[in-house]
Amino acid sequence: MADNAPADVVESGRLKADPGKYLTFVLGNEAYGLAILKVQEIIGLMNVTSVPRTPDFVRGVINLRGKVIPVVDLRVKFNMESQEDTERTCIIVLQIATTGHDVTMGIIVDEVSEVLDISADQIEPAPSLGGNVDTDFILGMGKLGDRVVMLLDVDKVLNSGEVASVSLVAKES
Amino acid sequence: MGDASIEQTTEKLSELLVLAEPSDLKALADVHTAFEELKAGADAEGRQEVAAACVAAAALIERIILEDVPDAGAAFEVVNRAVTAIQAIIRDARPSGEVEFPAELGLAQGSDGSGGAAAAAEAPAGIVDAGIFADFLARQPGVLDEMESLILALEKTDDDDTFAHLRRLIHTLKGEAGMLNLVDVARLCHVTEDLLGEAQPGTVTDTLLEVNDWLGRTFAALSGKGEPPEPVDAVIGALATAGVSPGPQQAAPEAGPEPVEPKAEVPAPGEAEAAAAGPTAASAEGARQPKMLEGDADLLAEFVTEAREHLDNADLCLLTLETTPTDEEALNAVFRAFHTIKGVAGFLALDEVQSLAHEAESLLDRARKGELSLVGANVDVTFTSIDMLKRMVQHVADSLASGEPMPVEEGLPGLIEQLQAAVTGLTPIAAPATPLPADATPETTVGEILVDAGVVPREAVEAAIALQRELAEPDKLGEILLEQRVVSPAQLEEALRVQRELEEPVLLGGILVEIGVLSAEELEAALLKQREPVEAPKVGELLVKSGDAAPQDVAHALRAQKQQRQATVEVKEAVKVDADRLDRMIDLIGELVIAESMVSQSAELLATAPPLAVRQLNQLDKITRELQEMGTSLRMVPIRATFQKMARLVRDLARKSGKKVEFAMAGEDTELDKSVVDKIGDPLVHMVRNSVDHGIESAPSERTRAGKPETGRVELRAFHKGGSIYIEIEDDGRGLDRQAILAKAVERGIVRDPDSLTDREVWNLIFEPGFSTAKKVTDVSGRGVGMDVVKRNIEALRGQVEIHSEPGRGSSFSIRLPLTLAIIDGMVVRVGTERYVIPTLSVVRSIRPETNHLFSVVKRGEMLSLQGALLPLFRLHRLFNIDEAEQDPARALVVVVEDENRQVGLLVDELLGQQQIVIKSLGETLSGLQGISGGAIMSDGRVGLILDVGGIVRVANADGHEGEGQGEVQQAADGEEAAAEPRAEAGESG
Repeated sequence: MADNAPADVVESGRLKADPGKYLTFVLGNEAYGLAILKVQEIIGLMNVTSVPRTPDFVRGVINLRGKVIPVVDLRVKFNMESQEDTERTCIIVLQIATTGHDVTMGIIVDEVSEVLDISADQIEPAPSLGGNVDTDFILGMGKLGDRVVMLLDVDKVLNSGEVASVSLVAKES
Repeated sequence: MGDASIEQTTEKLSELLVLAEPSDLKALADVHTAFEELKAGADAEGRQEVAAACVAAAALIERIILEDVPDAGAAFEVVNRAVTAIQAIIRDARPSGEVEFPAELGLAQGSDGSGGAAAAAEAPAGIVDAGIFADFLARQPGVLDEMESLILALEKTDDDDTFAHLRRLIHTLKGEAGMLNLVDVARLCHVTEDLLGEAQPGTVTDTLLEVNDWLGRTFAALSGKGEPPEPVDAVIGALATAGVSPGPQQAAPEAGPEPVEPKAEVPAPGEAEAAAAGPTAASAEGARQPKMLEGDADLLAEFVTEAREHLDNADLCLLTLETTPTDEEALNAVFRAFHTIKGVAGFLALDEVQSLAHEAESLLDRARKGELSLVGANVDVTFTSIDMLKRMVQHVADSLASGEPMPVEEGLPGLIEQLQAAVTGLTPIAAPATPLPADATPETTVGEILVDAGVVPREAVEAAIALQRELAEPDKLGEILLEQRVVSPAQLEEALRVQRELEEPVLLGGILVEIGVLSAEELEAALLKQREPVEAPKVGELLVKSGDAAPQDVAHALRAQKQQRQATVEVKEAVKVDADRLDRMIDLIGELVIAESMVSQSAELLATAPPLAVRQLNQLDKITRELQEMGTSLRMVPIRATFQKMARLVRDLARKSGKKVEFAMAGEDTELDKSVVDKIGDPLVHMVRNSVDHGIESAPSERTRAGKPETGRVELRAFHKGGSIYIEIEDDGRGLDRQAILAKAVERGIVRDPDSLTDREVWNLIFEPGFSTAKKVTDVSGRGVGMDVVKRNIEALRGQVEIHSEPGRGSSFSIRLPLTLAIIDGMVVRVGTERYVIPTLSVVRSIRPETNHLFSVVKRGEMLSLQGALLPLFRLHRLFNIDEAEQDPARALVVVVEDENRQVGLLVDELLGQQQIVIKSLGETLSGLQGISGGAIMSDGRVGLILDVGGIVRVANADGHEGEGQGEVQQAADGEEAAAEPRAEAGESG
């Protein structure tokens, strides 16, 4: 079985994103893509219970069919301006790889667009934007005609350094 | 009669068989008759083996007729094969030794005891609960691997932690092996511990590895893989040369049960009587030798499971009986256990099991009839019988798995003698064990209730019960036949006389058919009638009929009894289900609940739906709620089974140490998540051992001097409190010795300034690895490893242990466990736009505070004066940074909550109500949150957060140090009501 998860090549300056199917979504004016195998499901925005004493990008927790999962507001996470939820706002439920096993987590995005098949020649390496802009969680840029899709490494976006700090912060307090 | 006639009968028999169907009663009866005929013929010719096969086959047919076999088809097949074998002997004139009768017939043939010794040498003897034993074996390879890596690590480094870890492993292994009566393993571990205590671990690596290897081989052999290793003494010898004097350990474990080397040629005294008294002990003739299993493997496996359940239950009931000898329920349950085992064992040709069960049953039957009382030696001998039966059942299981013959239980003849002595020792009435119907007399309590209520005199009730018992007795075959006027009294008398005279018991029906007074069909009809359950009139009915009680009194008593019955022990059936599937199902139920509430609470739909649809939706709603409740309770199991094991442990330990200890338990129905119940067993074992061995004084005089009863008391309790589950073990022994602990701590350099420690700090010292104040090390405890294990295991469950102790009065250990998945009652409160759940058990009261009752303390915190007491007051909205909460305490509400005997007030906006909730983990990413113990799915499908009162106090205190109520994390207090509260505004607070 081919491993389509794009996270396994981690060498700077090289292409990190594998060609394959990506779920694309919109945040503000930007288009992002996620390796489709990471996506468990897409659900409409539901009532989120906020959890006190967590970083502000953690919108809270939801009840996903009897399972309580945390939901991260990707706008806040990416330091974008907050925006009122719309009818198109939705939650992408992801399987995030942590050490050992997967954790289910949701991200809130403005709008889910489509699933795109991105071939190798459409992928360009992530741009370096200078020292103080961290592009580590961008696997590459998908160029599709005149559009550019940022291919995210969701494990990095939501993993160790960041979400683990949720509990870390809580423990310190 | 010549061979020709037998041959004819055989041919006829096989013809009949070909034509017969397991469901065709007439044909079966014919086959039955044919077998009897053939038996008579074979008897006449002295063909014992054929005759025996016929008897067995006929019995099997009878069971098929009575629908007493689980698989009639399979049983029929057995009969078929038996006939083929008989044909081979008779028609083909094959020597009977060469012909194999189907093993399922249970003929006691060919008990050649080859190879029994090897299998018996290491088979675990003693109280072995097979489930525990299997678990134990399954775990060992991992444990040994770990041990090995530790031993190797120790060769390189001199790390105290590693060393302590190794000692812990060996200690636990010793304890477990001791419990499972693996005497050799326990002994070896003990010696090894001594070695570790004396020698530098790095210098004895080879010896330790040898121990490890021996253990590995032993466990492999016990699991049926590989040869049993060399005797343990060789290894112990090696240990001794490595620097240990094998001193006290030699004596200590000898207390275990008898060695299991099979001693051939042991005559079985008393078995002859046993055979005469009731079901036959067919193998009585000749030496007791290791025996191969003869029954059907599936049936045997079923028997093993069933017998274990019965024996475990009997164990518990017997414990009950020891304290309340009058408990008829318990007595009946023990009786039933033996009775069932006897019956099935007989069918499966487990003669020894059968005869032992039979003797024990006889004893209990006497007790049931009130002819002897089950106290003292009688209880002991019954316990021993249960133990031995457990071992025998284990042998059966082992033998099933390995194909080896079963080892001989050496103590059996002696035990049977004891049982017989106990039975005959008192009022020798020639009453053979006539079993009552298995479900006899739970109704007695109605009588008790009526007597207690003073409505009916005791005599009347007793008379009614006696009458009822008589009526409830299943009619004897003879009586039925008499009633149907099929046979005359004289004929019956004659048949009974024949039956008595025959050496081998032959069924009465068979005799009647044989002497020609009864046709096969008539017999069958009568047998079927006998099988019909006898409807005995209820005690209440009898009392009403006899005019001793008024109908309404009986009705009241029945209602009271029903309530009682709900509280009494039930033997629950269980189905094993994969935990993943269970979780998935619970999740799905959650999904269903949400989907359902979306439909049934949709205003749009309800506005347009016809009334009928609305009613149906309501019904759906109700069912869904019920399903949800059901689902959430699925993973929960009562802690009862674990407590029961402790009951047994206390008894055994008390016997071993010669102390009088009484054991009590409470709250054994408290439900915990299955995984917690599984893991709490180990720590409990250690703590119970500790209580009995160290807590309870060894000399009764020491107790009486202290003004306590001679009998010590150990109590185990489980209960919910404050959103946690507590398991407490309390003894009324001598309590912890503060001075001794401190002296030891100073000696070991753990404590420098002994006087500055609080009691609590002192008690916690006993959890230090290797800490022990015991002056002598026994094989039960004293090395100080146990409590270390306790602490670690409980911490692994995210729990806490707390010790209370009073010198001379006793000590109690309180384990507090979080609810990983438990149903609790929760109080739902609102703070601003947020809702939180406070476990109702934590809530003391709620009040609307008056402004003049609030004080601010050094601008740090607030206090609330409540009926003279000052409580710290925490504003939840400040701790959690919630906007739009009520700022004015006078318009808000204070919920007074209790945590670890400390009360604090929480300021909330309002109470929304109370509901049952299921605690869900927030997942590992959010698991470290303080102040929140978990989430709960609320009735509207949303997540509510459950407050952890202890955590809130800690959070508040930590915040207090940094300044007024500011957490270091600012959080986006989003509007729960996303539509009503513009998110942009709420999100800015961060």
